[in-house]
Amino acid sequence: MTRTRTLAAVAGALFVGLLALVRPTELFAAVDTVVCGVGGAFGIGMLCYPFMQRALVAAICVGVAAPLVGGFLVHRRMAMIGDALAHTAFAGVAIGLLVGSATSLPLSPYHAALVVAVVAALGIETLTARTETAGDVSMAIVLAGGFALGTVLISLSGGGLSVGIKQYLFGSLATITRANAALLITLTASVIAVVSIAYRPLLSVTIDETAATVAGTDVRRYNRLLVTVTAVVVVAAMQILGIILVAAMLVVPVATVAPQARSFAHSVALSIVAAQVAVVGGVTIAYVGGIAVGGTIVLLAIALYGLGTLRAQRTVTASR
Amino acid sequence: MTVARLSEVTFGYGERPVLENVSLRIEPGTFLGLLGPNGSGKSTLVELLLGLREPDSGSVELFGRPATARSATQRVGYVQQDVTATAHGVPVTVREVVGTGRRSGIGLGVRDDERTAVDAALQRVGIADLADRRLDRLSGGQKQRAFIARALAAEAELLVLDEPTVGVDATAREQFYGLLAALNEAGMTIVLVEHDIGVVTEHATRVACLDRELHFHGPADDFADSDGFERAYGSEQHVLSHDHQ
Repeated sequence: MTRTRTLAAVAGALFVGLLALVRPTELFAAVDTVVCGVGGAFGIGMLCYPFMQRALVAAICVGVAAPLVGGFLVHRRMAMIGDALAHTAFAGVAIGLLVGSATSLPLSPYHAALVVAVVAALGIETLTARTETAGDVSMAIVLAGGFALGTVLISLSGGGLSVGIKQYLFGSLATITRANAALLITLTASVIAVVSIAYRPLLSVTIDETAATVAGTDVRRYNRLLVTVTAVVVVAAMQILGIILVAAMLVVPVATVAPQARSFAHSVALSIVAAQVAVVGGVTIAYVGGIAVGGTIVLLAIALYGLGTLRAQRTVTASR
Repeated sequence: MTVARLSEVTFGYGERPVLENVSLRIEPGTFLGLLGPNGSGKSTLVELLLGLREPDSGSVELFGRPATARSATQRVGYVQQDVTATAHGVPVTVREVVGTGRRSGIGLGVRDDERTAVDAALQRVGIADLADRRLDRLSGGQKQRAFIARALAAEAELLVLDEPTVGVDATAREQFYGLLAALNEAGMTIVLVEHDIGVVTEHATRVACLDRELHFHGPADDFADSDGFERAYGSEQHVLSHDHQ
């Protein structure tokens, strides 16, 4: 049963991820047929716009991958790592834009951000494990260093990059290309596959790192895996949420459901539901109202957190 | 086979050693109480025993292998200090916690044989009815039992507990020591780090008393009258027995 469930999750994720990578045109044609069909049936015209379809696909991917990883981060008191990696991804975006504008190399800012964020993630893990530096201090150093590097690189461009950088800082509905949406699907599928395989050791380390070490779990290996996967999620989510708000989806849905969840597995499922409500609702409201999509998603997620906290307090009061 | 052997172990965090020239053997079936004043090196000794640290000099072996070897520490169950704070706020059930004791590696879900082992462990520590409750909704005493069940599910041969009764009320503490005694009678080797001398001399079969150096190691009944006791605690002391009520 264990093996079947894991294999099904991994195989399903890899199939969709590969499909997005090698057959994006067919995949988005299928998305168009289904989503536009549903939109037509319910009289929701926005679902037939390709840019909205891509935005919704991106949002749904973020709403799955972010809480999936966030559950382990939040309960290990590593909530700030998303913020740190997002700010270093900013340096990656700046490198990508700078190289792209100065040379004819086809370097996408997202690819550069992915590389820089993964390197930074491993840097944080090494700083924490190999030195006396506390985890939050390592994150603060990497966060500040990444953002500083990004600003210096942008200034080197003579201001030419500062216009293009805005979409990366705040996220955007309109700028998600088919290639980027396909990349996001592949990244999300990879995250699902990795977490499905490593779920049990990650849970063991989350509950009690020392006992996991004693029991023979290679804690450093799983720490490295967790921060690397977090870097992937941060870059994936950056397209729609923007660098400044990306960490929220790692943290807020998990915090929303934690008091109500019956088990860790239940909390993972509930946090994905909460994240989906926030991202799909946020994209819809942002489109209808013509407002910033990243901010709308995060505000909706925080509103859900408020409701969840109120409900949890009522339950505690009633049980006394 | 000797469960654990420390040979002339010296360890320090800076220039001043926390442990100096400590030699200790733990035989199968022993219930060893590890005593010493604050800062005496008890927790450091536990970390060395668990392979979490390596000595500056000397050697530490578990089951005949270096304590840092994964195959050695896999035979150890560990319950850390202040169980009330462990995994606080993590929405994890007792069953999920105990399940992490099974070293069956990766993937989602739980295999049938693992479920059986987890159920048996929960039954043995008397919290089978709490299997699906969240760990952070349990009392301190119930949490301790959950962590011991995790060690039992892992089929640990050595149980190491570092001041496990911090934050636990007196009644639960007594029940907890009763459980440890029962496990020891069934063959489990136990190392209990405690600050309460009365508890150790009452429940443990052997006592080791540390204050940087090992001042006493022998039968628990001999400890109160030994000079090692005074040397570790620094001045004339008297052991007053009490019933923990």
